[in-house]
Amino acid sequence: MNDVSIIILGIAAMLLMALGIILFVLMYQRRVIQSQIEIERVNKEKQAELIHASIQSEEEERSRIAAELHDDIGAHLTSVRMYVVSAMNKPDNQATLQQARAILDESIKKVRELSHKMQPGMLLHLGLVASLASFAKMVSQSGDIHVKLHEDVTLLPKLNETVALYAYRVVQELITNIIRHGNAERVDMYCQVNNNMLLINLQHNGQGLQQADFERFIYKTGASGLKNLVNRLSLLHADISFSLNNENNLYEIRINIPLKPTV
Amino acid sequence: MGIILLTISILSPLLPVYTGMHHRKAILWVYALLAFMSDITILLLKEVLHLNPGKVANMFFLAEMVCFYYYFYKRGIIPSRLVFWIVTPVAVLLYVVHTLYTVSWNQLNTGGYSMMLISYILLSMLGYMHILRTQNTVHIGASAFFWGNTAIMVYACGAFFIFLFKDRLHPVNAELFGKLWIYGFLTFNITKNLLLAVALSKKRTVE
Repeated sequence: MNDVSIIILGIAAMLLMALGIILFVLMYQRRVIQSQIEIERVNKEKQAELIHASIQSEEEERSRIAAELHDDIGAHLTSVRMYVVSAMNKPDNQATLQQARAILDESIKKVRELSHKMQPGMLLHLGLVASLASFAKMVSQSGDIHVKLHEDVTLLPKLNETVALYAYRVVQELITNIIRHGNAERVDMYCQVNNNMLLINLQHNGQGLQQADFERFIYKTGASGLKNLVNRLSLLHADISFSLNNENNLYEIRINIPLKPTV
Repeated sequence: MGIILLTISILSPLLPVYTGMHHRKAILWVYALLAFMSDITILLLKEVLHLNPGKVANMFFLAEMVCFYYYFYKRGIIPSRLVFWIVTPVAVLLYVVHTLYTVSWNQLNTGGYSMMLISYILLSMLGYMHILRTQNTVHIGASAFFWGNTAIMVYACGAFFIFLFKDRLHPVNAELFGKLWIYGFLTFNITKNLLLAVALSKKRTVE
């Protein structure tokens, strides 16, 4: 092979190498952009789904309140009215008045519960710990499940109102789900502050979710409660994990909430 | 055909000089201007004054190396000011010593220049890695550095073998080498200047 052939072959090889590198750069960059576009699309979809879930959840809540007002409290008040009318006709009928008072007491209790569910006033005055303790007590009163909040939570500092409300709602939703779907008999709730993070740990002996199930559910149509929960957690820049503790065979839900979030 | 290519090659640096008129502090613009002045000077010395243009060519190679190294330093390919201030004088010194002791200052140091071209190829490769790592622009065609880097890469890859074999081929077959020079080197030189023109037309910031 003479020098000219070597030069020509060499130039061709070098140019091929240069061309190969340039093509690789172009294709790689295009692939990266495509994957970024895809990630953006999925994020937008997820965001839309979360907004939809939030609206749906709000509508469901309104329907539930309307039904409770109409079917329960409305019916109670109608009964009281009947008893009062009856008592007006027979003023000495103490039994009817007693009956009316019992129904009114029941109605007041119902209104208080409803109000507590909508906006736990205790949260503003006494904070997250007292509200969670009260919620645990209220749930335990049903007798079907025992929810216990552990003592060390008294060390919890006063939290930002939004953080406290969102954390409360998240725990409320999780415990409601445990009662509805988990058939648990006992729930243990632990709260602590560590490295400027609020750590909430729920352990229960029912049928729980694992991380993969949770991720599957939040992308599924429906499950608006879970989506709403994710929405609240993302506003708090918090994260949640689900697992099964093989040592005690209890399902665990861990929530980590930064204490200086941008809400 | 040869004359046409030679004329285009000599005039081609004017294109990046023109497109980069608003970025006159950019090192690639300075380089293009130097390339044009050097080509014109070499032409005058060789064809009009019948003098040896070797010194001018060697000086231009050194200036080109400083410009390209500075370009890569400003884009973060040469990692620090210290490395730049060590590598550049060492490379200049090596070239000067090699030229003085093994070739001659009046003669084109093609061996030394081939080594320079290898360093440009390596820096260009690092430049592409930098582009992929940083992903500064959505479309790579909008990046001035991509075009500048491509200009240097294509030129260095194309010219490397021509300079490497010049001293071996030229004395044996000057006519053949002349053709190779005209159709090979001049084409790569024109391509480089076209790509530099694109790079300078994209530039928004002073490098």
